[in-house]
Amino acid sequence: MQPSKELIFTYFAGQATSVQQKAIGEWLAQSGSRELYFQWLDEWERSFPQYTPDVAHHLEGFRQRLDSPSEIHAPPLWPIETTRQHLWRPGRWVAAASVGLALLAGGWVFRNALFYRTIVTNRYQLRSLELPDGSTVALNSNSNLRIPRLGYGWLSRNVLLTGDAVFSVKHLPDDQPFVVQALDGLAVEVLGTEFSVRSRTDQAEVVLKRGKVNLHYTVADQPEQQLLMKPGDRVTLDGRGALRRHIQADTTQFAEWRYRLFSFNNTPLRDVAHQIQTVFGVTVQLTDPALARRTLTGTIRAGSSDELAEALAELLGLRVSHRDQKLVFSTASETQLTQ
Amino acid sequence: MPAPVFAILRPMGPDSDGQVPLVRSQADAPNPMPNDGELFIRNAFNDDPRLGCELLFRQYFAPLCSHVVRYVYNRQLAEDLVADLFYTFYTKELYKQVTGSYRAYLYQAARNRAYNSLRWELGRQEVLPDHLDHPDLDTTQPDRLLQQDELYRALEHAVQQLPAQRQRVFLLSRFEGKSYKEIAQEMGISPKTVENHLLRATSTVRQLLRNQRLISWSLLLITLLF
Repeated sequence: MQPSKELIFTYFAGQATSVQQKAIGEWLAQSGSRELYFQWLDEWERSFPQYTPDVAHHLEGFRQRLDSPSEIHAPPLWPIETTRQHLWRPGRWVAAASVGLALLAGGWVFRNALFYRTIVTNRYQLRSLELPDGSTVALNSNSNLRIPRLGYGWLSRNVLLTGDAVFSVKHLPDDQPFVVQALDGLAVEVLGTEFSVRSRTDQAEVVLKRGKVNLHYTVADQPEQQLLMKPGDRVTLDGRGALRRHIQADTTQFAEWRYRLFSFNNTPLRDVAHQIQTVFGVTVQLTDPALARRTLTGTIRAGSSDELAEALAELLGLRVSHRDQKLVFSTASETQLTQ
Repeated sequence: MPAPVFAILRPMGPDSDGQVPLVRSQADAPNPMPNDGELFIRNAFNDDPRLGCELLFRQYFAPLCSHVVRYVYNRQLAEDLVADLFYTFYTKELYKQVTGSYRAYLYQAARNRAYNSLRWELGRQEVLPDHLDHPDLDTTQPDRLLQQDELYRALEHAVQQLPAQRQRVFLLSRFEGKSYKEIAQEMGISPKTVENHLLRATSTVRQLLRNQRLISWSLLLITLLF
């Protein structure tokens, strides 16, 4: 339904009721409403101007600015060329060399670090990296990936993962397998493909988007078993060592944590908590069961679990506290009681 | 709205014969092309972009400033932001990418600039300079419009809530661009008091924005139900 111009003007002036605002929101969601919206906004601004600037004066300034060529070729704020030259100054090389020496010495002491490169993300970070063989990895927060420095690509392609990651594996001419060692005695052997692995202390999950992977797993001291996955398969391994295979026709929601965008549509807080859990790998606890039933609609882009939690807390009038890797939501009144 | 959008929305009928887009856009022209009185300017852009820009400037500079000032509460800043918008519009040839009306584009870009300027003022340096003017904003979710409307109204409300004298000092300083001295003279108070009023007024408005959290998150539309 298209609102009247009067209603939109009332709305611009901040006098619309929340029901009217909602109606306008729905109207704006329709295609083609945008142009009319801006047409009316323009009319409203012209009818009720905050003030009248000196257009002639500014137009003159605008013309002059367009005429002066110096500004068009204005130097960038941080001149790129000169910083590049700085790198070539001998002082830098000496510094770099000593840092390099220190690193080498450190490497001798920490041999494990010498043989393996470990990429760690804290709870705010997302990282994507390219492995020496051209395969790519997107690493979620609170995760850690260990890659051998020596022999990767010609002896073996074994990596060790704790946390969440999406792998896009390049197939090598010699059919060399790519193996992701997860915890819980689970190993994913890849035959050129795209898939995600979650390897947390209490559960492991593998989702295959394209290609073919072979799972090796051991359950309760039994000999190693294998499972061949097909695209769309999702395999979970829970803390008790039970392996389940689910068939997921829709892989559009594949590893959504990469985009950090959360959309809710009348979503109960319980499910929101679950999403935070899957995306950021932190546990979320709701102290009051009534909380779990409250619902939320909207879209939020949040870079970290903290940011999202803070936003939710403020919206819903909740208190949020952190205990280690755990977010606890409680109602404001409840906290007052405990204090 | 431009033809391509319509071409997507409308299921291809049996009469469509492949080469429609151009024909279709003309056939649909009266409908999707907004009544924006910009036909003349549009033609000017074809012949001489610079003239087109100047015409747009003449037509929209004042209302755009009036709109931006609702966000930034500073005339000088508003005028600079809008002038800069036109400058980028011309030098980066963004007018070539505008698909809807220039009006919708300019308002949206001006709002984004105002929004980012506010954000910057609050010390969150997450400005996205290059994306600001990008006409892709046509596809912005409608929620964003609502959210931005909400923001300027919240600001207005905050300013209205200030005590009378503080409000006057705030507006004289930010809006009229007057110096402490001038305000002190005009209102018959000491410059120190003026400064004090301003500090408090600014922090009140800031506090409001922080509370609203409209700035830091792109939180779009929220309804809460039990």
